[in-house]
Amino acid sequence: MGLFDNLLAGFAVALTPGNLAAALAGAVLGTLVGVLPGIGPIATMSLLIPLTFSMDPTTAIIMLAGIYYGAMYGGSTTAILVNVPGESTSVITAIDGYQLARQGRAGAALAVAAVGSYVAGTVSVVGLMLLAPALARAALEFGPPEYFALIVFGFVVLSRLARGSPLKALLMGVLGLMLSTVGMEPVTGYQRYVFGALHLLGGIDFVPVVMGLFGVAEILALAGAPAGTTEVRAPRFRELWPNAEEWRRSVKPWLRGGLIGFLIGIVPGPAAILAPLASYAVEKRLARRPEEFGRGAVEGVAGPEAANNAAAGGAFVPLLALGIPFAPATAVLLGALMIHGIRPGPLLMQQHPELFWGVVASMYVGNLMLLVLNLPLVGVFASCLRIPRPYLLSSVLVLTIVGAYSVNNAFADVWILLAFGVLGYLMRLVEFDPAPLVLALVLGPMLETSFRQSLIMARGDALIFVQRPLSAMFLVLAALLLITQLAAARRTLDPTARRAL
Amino acid sequence: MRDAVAGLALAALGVAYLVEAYDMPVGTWEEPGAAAFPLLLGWSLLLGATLLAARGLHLALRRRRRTGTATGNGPPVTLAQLGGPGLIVTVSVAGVLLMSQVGYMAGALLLFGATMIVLGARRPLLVGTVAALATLATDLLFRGWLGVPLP
Repeated sequence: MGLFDNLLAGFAVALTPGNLAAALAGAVLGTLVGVLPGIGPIATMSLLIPLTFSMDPTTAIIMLAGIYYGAMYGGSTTAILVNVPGESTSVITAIDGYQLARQGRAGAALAVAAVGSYVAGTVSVVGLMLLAPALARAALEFGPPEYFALIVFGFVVLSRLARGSPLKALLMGVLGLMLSTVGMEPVTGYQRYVFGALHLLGGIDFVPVVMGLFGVAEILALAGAPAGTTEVRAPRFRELWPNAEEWRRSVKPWLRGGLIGFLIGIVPGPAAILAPLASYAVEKRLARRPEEFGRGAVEGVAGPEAANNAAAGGAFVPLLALGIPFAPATAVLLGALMIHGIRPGPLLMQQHPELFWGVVASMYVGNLMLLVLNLPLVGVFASCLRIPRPYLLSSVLVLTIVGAYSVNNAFADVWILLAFGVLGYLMRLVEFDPAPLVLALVLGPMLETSFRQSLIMARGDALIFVQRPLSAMFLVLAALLLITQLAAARRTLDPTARRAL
Repeated sequence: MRDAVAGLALAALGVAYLVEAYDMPVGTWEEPGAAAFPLLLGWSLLLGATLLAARGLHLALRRRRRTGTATGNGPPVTLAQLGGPGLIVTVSVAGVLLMSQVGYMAGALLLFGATMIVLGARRPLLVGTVAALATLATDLLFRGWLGVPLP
């Protein structure tokens, strides 16, 4: 059977009433858990696995996959409206999305994010369909030195993108990495910085930290600001949709973000976090008005939103083609497949073509469903900003507390949330951007593990990082970026301040 | 001067982090121990924070020499910037303590109501009604519908 025959057969599977209902249920649930901070897609998928026991395996995976990519859609909503990223993948979206909301362009930002997610979802499905086996094999070339170099490169890119001084951004990155060392260390299990608190053995969870640094800090900032200086302007009816200029400026970032996200998505590792970051860097570099980034550039929403959805699709490549999950969400999907007696891998397409092609086709259908569901809801979501500030913000505060508690059903996470809320507010006062800290906290364990594994592999020879071509390429790129950054800083400073650098 | 203070605070954190790291096994280059990565991070933070503090101090002194008044690195932090947030934090701590001792409903009711008042709501009847309805709605949504355990 040819590719299109396979795809047609896949659509025949995906369009059965049962599978359509499963895709719809997954998409709706995913959007809901994406919008509500704290309850992530991984927890939701895990909780719902028992419900799928009585289902056909294809239907079960269609529903669970729908939750995953639906959460990618929903995660951006709170990031744009109230500066609380529902998922780690939406941290970058919050930077310009929230600024657009403050200018009364919340509806436009939500619509750009929704259409971008659809475009990227489509790009990733086409990519998955055409390139799955070959790309998955190429992705296996990544070993510990390549991961290490890729993440170092990601940090250098981030220090250029963060608001304010690059030195402050790098310091926040280091602080995030330090926080990631709390708990049992990843190689030998040695307890670090736990100070007898059992709750810290598993490390500091990402959810309370991100909700504290962004959500609670935002509430504290609004409480500390003089009246009228930090109002988020509710959009008027005619402003709910992007204008012609915003649509035009979004098209190329969607396509570029989709492509970048898919290619990064198939690489093992925290692709869904790195992909929006890479897309943001590319868009800022290509923008005619790069100074708008951080102040409400529509490209800063379009590119990263497309990238995080495409990365979610790309993550299915190694799962379905090789049977290896490289992200927590795809690991849950692998578990569900195995519960149903199916082992994904190179033989999946031959042994269970209805499942492989059915899931591919259902992802296309699911993305269309999400667009149809989300676009009419743009007005509803944006109208949340019409709720008077005291009522809206008190709800955000209680929702973040419930979200933090629900991570482990523990008050320790709520105290972490409040502590990081205070820290986030103080960081704002001294103009430190929290985004590098959050991303470093997530990437830290992987950076440390790959660093130590690389040295063990090379018997202590640190040259391993420059002897392998891919790793050397990322490190050279990182070095070049740092050098150009320093050169730019020297050009913009006067001679006295330059000496102080 | 704000950068200088922030730099010094981060440098102090770096020192404390390093003190703890030196108590862990360092290992060798062939087999790095639990302290290897923290030592790298601690020294990086200490170095970067010292640079930030030095730069902040230098810029502040230079500005003071030029203008005779300004302290550099933006306007100083005022008490007003800390009063409102301080109240929110106090209310949050009280609400969470109440949740942990009495239960979700009591804590959430306090959190909703007190936060609304601190943030500027001025109609007690409306605040009370909205707080009660919001508490019930969140309980219904999370515990009743989504099955999320609440305190």
